[in-house]
Amino acid sequence: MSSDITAVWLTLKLAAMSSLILLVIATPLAWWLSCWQHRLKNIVLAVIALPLILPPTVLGFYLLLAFAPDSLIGGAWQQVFDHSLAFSFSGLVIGSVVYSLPFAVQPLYTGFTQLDRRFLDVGYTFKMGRWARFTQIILPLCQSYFLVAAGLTFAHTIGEFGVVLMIGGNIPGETQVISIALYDHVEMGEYYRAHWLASGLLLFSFLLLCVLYWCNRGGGRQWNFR
Amino acid sequence: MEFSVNLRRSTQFVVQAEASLLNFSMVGLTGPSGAGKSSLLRALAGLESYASVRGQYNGQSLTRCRIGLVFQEPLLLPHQTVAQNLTLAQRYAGDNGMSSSYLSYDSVIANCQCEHLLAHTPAQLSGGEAQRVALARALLNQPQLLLLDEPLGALDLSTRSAILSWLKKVAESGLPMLMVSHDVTDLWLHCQSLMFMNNGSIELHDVPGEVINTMYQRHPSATGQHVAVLAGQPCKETGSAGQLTSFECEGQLLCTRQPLQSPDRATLNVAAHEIVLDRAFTTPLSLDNTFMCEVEGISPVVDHQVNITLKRGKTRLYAMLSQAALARLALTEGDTVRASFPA
Repeated sequence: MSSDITAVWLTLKLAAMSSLILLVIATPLAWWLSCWQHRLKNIVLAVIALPLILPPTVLGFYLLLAFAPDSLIGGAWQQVFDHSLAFSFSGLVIGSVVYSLPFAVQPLYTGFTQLDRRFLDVGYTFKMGRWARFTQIILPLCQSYFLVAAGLTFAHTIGEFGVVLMIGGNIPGETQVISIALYDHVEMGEYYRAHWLASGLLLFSFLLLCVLYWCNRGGGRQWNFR
Repeated sequence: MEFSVNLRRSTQFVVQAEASLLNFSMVGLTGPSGAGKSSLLRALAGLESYASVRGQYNGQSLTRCRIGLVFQEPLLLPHQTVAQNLTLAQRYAGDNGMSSSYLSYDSVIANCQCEHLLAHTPAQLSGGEAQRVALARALLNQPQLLLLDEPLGALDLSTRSAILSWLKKVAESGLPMLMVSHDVTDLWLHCQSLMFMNNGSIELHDVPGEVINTMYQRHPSATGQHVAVLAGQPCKETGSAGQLTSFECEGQLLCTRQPLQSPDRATLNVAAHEIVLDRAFTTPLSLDNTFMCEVEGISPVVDHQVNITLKRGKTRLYAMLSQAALARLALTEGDTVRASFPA
């Protein structure tokens, strides 16, 4: 039972870190995409959306190759941190960030394209700096999109299975997340413990989605977006 | 202030405008829709990244000035109350070097008539209320120069003229303004000079009366009902005429119901359809004002109607007559006529 609690804790830690990192990466990326006009834009959008449709094992397979100690990324990581990226918690975080990227970028991209940019013009004429315009204008006006992006990446990371299995394996306390522990229990015929994890995940996911829909009622259009 | 703006909006349309304004307080900018007025203001405010803007104000490069802009739409931040919107602008306010108390918080709120709106959210405001708040917000940011893009279009006549009169005083106390408007009377009454913009360039820049007259001659159909403003020194003893103020214009005595623009300036707006012309100068009329003047020009007939431009000294009037009336009076250019109109 204590290993299950460890798995729950590890999963929550992974989801929280991935969501946080993703918001930091996806906000400038989505902003840049919403301003960028180029014929290559569709290709960039497609690349970002790839994890939505790729089987997680495909993504996991390529990440595993990239994390290997004899590869460029994996080798460099080994040099700096003195441990392998594959089958480590850090590897899982990087994998989750790639895997959940579209779930963070797409709501923010929608929010930014719908934002009436003239509010920012008003801020500019008030001589507000970039950071002030972000915190005083963009953040509150796109609040619901930020909540959806954070909530979706969090929930999606918790539901991860294929990628984790490929790049993380099943090391308790290091890479064994809830979905893997559940799989383990079923393999072992421990249905009682499997029920606990499965019903817990089900209830949690349901509640999280309810909260997201509640936050996003009207898609944030209760304010005057164009 | 001098500026020169070059902004390519499309392959067909380029805004290429320059002007030099000396010791100005309130300057008007008018012209047909799509002439580039809003683009020019946006470029001056630094909002058009593709525009090349050169110029200086008070020896300082324009790009370094604090230039405020009141947009056509109020654009109040919807997640904040009116009070919070105003506080935000105040928090980023600069120092525009104005010593008078015109732009203190209380003065701005009172004169923009926003006191009772402070606790509201923008969604609860009417169009005119939102415009007043937007104006107050721009003023509280203490700009060195204020651009107004049809800022008061949604206001009723009396509120608008009260706010414009106050703005004129603010402008004269050290915050110069450039105001876009289509309202001939507003421009005439409140602006020192007027620029007329067409096809992206400033075609005319002169005193309002002259620019408006040229506009009427060149674009008679686009400018709508012609209006003239008669102005003059008010006479001291005005008590006998009740509420009316008598004033002298081109050596003739006229009276007006309009409030004085300043202690030494009375004005009277006369729309073209209000004017009755006759050539028998002795008949008494029920109208309060008569004005002797000469026919300066007669427009071509459009829809059986003609516009007559009348002039005496530097003062012009515009009258609209049917083709039949023109034939009855047998008017030709240079004739002296009597124009009669209400106070």
